[in-house]
Amino acid sequence: MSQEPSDEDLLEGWLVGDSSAFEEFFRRHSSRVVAYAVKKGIQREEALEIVQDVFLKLHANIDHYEVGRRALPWFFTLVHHTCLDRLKRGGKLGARIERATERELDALPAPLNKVDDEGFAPDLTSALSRLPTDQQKILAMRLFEEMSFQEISQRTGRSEVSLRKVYSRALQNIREWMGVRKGDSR
Amino acid sequence: MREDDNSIAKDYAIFVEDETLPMTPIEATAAKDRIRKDLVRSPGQMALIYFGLSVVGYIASLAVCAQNAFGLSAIAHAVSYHIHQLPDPWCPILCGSVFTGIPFVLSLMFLNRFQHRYLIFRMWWFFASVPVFATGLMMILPSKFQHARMSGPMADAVARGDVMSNGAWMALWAASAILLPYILEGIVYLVVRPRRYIAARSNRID
Repeated sequence: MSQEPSDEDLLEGWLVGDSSAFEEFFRRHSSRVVAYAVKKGIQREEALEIVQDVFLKLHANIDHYEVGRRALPWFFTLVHHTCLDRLKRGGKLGARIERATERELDALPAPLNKVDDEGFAPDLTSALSRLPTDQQKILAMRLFEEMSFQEISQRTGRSEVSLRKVYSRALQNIREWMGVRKGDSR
Repeated sequence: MREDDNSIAKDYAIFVEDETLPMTPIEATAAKDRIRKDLVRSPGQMALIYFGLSVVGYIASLAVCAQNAFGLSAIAHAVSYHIHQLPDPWCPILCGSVFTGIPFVLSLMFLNRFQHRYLIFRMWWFFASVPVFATGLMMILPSKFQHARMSGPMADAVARGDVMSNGAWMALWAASAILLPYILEGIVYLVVRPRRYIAARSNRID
C-alpha cells in the first residue's frame, strides 16, 4: 500500500510542475483557508476570493519554497497575510464611505439623490454598511472613485455584465432599505 | 512583540484545527483553472510538447544549415565563408551546436519554468534521449553531410587542405550536437532548481 504524500512532497511536486501535486494540495487545504477566513470575520463569498488569491500567490512565489521546510506553517503565513490585507482593505473602504461628502452623495443616481438632506447621509451610510462586501466595493469604485465598469472589471477580474448586475442589485437594496427607514420615521 | 507571536501561534492553531468549510466543485474549479494551465498534467503531455518543439527546432536548424552550406543568399554565403575559415575542429563543433541549439532556444521560449523543471527533474531520460536520437538520425544520412561539406564555400576549405577525415568531422559534430543541449540545460537547472531549507538561519514559526 502506498503512503500518502506529505504536504512537503506536494509543494515540491508543485514546484517541479506536477499538476497532480497541486490538485492534492488544493484539495487538502482550500477548505481550511475558507474556514480560517470566515473565522477572521470575512464573508464566505469573499473567503472564496481569498482562496483564489492565496493559491495564485503561492503559485507565483512557489520558487521561494525551500525543500525540507515545513509546508503548512509557510502556507499559513501566506493565508494569514492575505486575510489581513483583505480586512485592511475592507476597513479603508468603510472609512471612505463614512467620509463621503455631500457632493459625492449627490452623484448617486435617482431616486437616491431626491431624498431630503435631513438624515440623508446617516441613512445612506447605514444602508451601505448593510450591503454585502462585494456590492459595497463595486458601488464605492463606481460612485466614489468614479471608475467605469471596464476599469472595475480590470481591477476585480469580473466580467462587466456581472458587475452591472451586482451594481444594480446594490442600488436596489439601498433604495429598498432607505425607503423602509423613511417610512419608519414618518 | 511576544504578544504578537502568541497571537500568530493562536491563529496557526485555529488554521490547522480540523474544522473546514469545503468548496463546491464549481468554486474549486474556478480557483484552480489559472494555475492548472501552467502545470504539467502527465509525462505524455510533456513528451508531446517537447517532442513537437524539438522537431520544429531541428527543421529550423537544418534550414539554417542548408542556407549556409549552399550559400543560398549573399548573407548565407558570407556567413558560411567565415565559418569555414575557422580552423577545422571548430567548424563541426559550430555546425553541431547550431543543429541542437535552435531546439533548445525554442524550448526556452515556449516552456515555462514549471515545464522546464518537470523536464529536468521528472523526465530527464526523455530530454537526454532526444538529442541522441536526432543526431543519430542525421548520422545515418552521411551522404547529405558529404554533399554539404564538399559544395559551395566549404569546398574552399577542402581545397586549402584544412580538412579532417569524415569520421573525425562527424564524431566532433555529433559530440557537440549532443553535449550542447546537456550543457545549456545544466545551466537552466542551476537557475530553476529548488532551494534547500537551512533551519539554522530561520527564526520563523516553523
